[in-house]
Amino acid sequence: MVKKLYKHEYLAWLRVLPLIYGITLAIAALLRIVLIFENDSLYYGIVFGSAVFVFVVALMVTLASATVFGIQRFYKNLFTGEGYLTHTLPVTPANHLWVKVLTAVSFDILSVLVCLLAGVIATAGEVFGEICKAAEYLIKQIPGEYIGHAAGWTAEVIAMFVVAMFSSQMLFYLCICVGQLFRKNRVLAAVGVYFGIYAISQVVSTVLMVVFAIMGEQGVWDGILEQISQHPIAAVHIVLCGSVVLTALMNLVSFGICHWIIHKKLNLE
Amino acid sequence: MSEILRCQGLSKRYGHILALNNVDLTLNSGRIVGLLGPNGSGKTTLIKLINGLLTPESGSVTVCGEKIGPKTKAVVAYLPDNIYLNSWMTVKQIVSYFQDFYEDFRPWLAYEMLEKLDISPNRRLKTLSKGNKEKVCLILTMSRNAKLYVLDEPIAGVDPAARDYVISTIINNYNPEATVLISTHLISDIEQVLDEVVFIQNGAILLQKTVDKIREENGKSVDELFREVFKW
Repeated sequence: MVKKLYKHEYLAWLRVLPLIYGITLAIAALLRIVLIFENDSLYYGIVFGSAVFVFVVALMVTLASATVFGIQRFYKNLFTGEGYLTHTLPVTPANHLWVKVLTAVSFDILSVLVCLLAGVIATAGEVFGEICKAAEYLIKQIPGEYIGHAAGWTAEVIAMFVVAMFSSQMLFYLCICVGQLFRKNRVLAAVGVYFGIYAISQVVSTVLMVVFAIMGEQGVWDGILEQISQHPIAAVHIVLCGSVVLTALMNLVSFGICHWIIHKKLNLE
Repeated sequence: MSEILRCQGLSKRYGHILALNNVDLTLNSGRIVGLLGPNGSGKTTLIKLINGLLTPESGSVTVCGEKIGPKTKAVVAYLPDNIYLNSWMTVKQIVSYFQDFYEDFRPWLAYEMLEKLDISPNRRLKTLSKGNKEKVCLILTMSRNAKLYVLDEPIAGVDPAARDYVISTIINNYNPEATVLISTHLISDIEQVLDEVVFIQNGAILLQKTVDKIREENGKSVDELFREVFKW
């Protein structure tokens, strides 16, 4: 049954996202064609500037598309008229949530890949060669003792990137679900919840920074800072892995709250 | 006859309004039951609770002895009082959607009924008229071989000719061992097909009787009794 949920979720996404991807890749190709005619004329400058602007906008739209469509689909499919069908399917609320978030994250990743491909297309030829050379130069600048850890760091950064995508999607789902606990103006309530969470996180991080700074002045961190200076590679691994675990835990909490609301507090009035 | 639906002490509140007040209701299989009451009496609220679309303040609902969940949703065919299908889908895609999720769905029956109505499976739902959209919803519901059919106002807002189509579709396609719960306030149109009626007012069950008993004991038709009970 879950496979079928995925099938229909992907079908709904495939109706919209490939069109955006196609337009972005076409704009990238157009930019590359513009580059062929490079010259010093004012006319070319205007055309090139416009093409770059459109390309940047297309990249931004592509990167935001999965998140925006994910939010729209989550709300519409679960909490509007479509919810009458969605919630009468013989599947569990957890199935619905997993399918929604995993599909959104997979399209988030696809959007990033499409943007990278668009970049390759737009810079194909000499410019791309220059970019590769620059990247090679930067990699060579990394001290030898760090190179051995590159694979581990890459895996950790990719993991952080993926959990961050889950996080951005789950935050919006959480706001929408909490908004459903209100009797009226549920969309407005969801927006309010979003700003509420943002404000609380800002206050908490500011308080923590102040507390940590005071603790630093009292020498609480001296031992830890010494350890970091003695083992910088391990410190980077700990920070990256810690971030991944912490973000994943926050995602699980958001998932749990969303599940509880859909399972125990659903009110499709 | 086995018990198909049981509501015990079911209450639902919308803010300060008590939509359902301690409702106890049991329905057995093989019956066509009319859930009758004036507007705002709690019919839709009760139906939504049976389908798990609302959370009750107190009480419980079981279908075939199971609490509302995937198992009950697999055996309950629900027709809401609004059009709930994705408008961008074609009729064929919607049929395939139902076929994928409901094991009791009979696609051949759905296509047969669509053909009779001359509705092309390749048409997108948004291109259909409101009446045809409602008929597609009804066809999808009645194409299931469910144990409990819950139809919320299936004949409200349709012309008399369409009402006949809706009623005949229900009668000709439901599983005879199943129970059909039909909510409506248009009694005269539906009375001839009902085995049993449940009167509901202000969120409370006023009466639950077979149509034969009403005629026998009250000497009235259901419509006449309804007008008497719910007289302003």
